[in-house]
Amino acid sequence: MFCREHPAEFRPHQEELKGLGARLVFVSTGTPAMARDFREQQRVTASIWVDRRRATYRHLGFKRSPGSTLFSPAILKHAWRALRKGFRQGATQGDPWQQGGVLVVRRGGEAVFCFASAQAGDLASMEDVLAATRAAS
Amino acid sequence: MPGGGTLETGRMAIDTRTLGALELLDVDGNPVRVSSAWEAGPAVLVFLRHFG
Repeated sequence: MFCREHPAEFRPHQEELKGLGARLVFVSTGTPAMARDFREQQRVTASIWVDRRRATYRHLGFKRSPGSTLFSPAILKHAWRALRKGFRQGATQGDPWQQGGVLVVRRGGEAVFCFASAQAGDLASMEDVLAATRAAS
Repeated sequence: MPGGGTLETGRMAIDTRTLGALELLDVDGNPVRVSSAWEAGPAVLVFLRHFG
């Protein structure tokens, strides 16, 4: 359900990002076919890229473990937050143990912000992401 | 740092030159280089856990 919550959190801010000249890209494990289904079902209008080998995730040092997916008490808090917003868990399509994050990069390649999820549902602060993007513009 | 650089955080250093050279797939299965995200302006890359 967190994978559905994340794009939904960005949706109200896409116009601002566009106004800043920023490109929003969602990256996920899985396949292009899964990405197409996800795009349609979640009404994602930003680009979706697929990293089947998880090379970007490894490069960024994002966690991948059953512990960070299933056994952290913080996950219950995150799940309650997502459930109250109306998000429900669908069938997992991709790597079930992989955690995500957010990276903001200035034009030309300078990284200005990176957030790595500590556990499933640990999402970056949208305020922090927007502030970093404004600074990068 | 034009052309790529490194962000030092409390936990990691990010080499965007190497990251940018990686190739992913778009929804149609076409290869796309990560650095293309920040060629024309800033990029916000959101890494999801999976589709589901």
